[in-house]
Amino acid sequence: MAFVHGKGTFISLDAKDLSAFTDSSELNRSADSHDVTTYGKNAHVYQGGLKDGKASMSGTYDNTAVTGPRAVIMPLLGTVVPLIRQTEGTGSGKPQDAVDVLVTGYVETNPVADMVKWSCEMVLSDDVDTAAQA
Amino acid sequence: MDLGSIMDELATRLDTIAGLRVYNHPPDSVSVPAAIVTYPGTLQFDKTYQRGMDQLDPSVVALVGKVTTKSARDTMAAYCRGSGASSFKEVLEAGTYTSCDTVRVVSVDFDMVTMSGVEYLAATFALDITGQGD
Repeated sequence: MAFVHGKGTFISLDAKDLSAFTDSSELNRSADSHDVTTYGKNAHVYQGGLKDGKASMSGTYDNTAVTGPRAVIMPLLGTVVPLIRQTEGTGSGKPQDAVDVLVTGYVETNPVADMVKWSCEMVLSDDVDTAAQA
Repeated sequence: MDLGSIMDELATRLDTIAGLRVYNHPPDSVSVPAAIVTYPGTLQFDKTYQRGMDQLDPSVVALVGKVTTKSARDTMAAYCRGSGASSFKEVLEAGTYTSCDTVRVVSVDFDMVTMSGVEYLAATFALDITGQGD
């Protein structure tokens, strides 16, 4: 086992590689919980429900006309498209999360003394395919 | 980004300022008024995933006449203006670069530099440069 650096992370949205414009990304997975506690119990009892999740990514704005974050993400707002994230980078046998996502937000932030930044928010739609890369 | 190419391009831009002697690296001796493109304090790799972006902070040192002369003050004032034909900030930021994506003159610090026994009025322009990783 070894620690893994984040610099090699690969991420794409709708089959468009956004890695070179991205410096942070998250894939949050969760599940509903249903309280099925009955009389006589001293503690809550839960049962699992539907899985859910959110994803986000952010980075430095790039005005590349076709493949930059603005060009790729803005047209996808409100649509469900595939997201692929390879936590350890690209390579056979390395982990991969592939899931359809609804693109719910795209933000551009312009600080006066720094680079233009962007961020994207998504919600997961359906199951996450965690099969390792072929 | 190639450091040498960046220093060359910065020097080429500064060379458009009338009467200024420009050095694309620290020289053995200097004839004033002069601009010396110096090495960055830090070159930061992996500002985005997959070698997408690097960042560095080279400096340009301006040397004018003896610190006690009014002409040195006036010459330096022109170099330090926010705009104008002799403004380092305007000249450097208005350039079109092939070795990097963005050039910003962040700040300028003033000092006295002794060369060959003469105290020159000096100003160090701090730059912030970003470009594609390679």
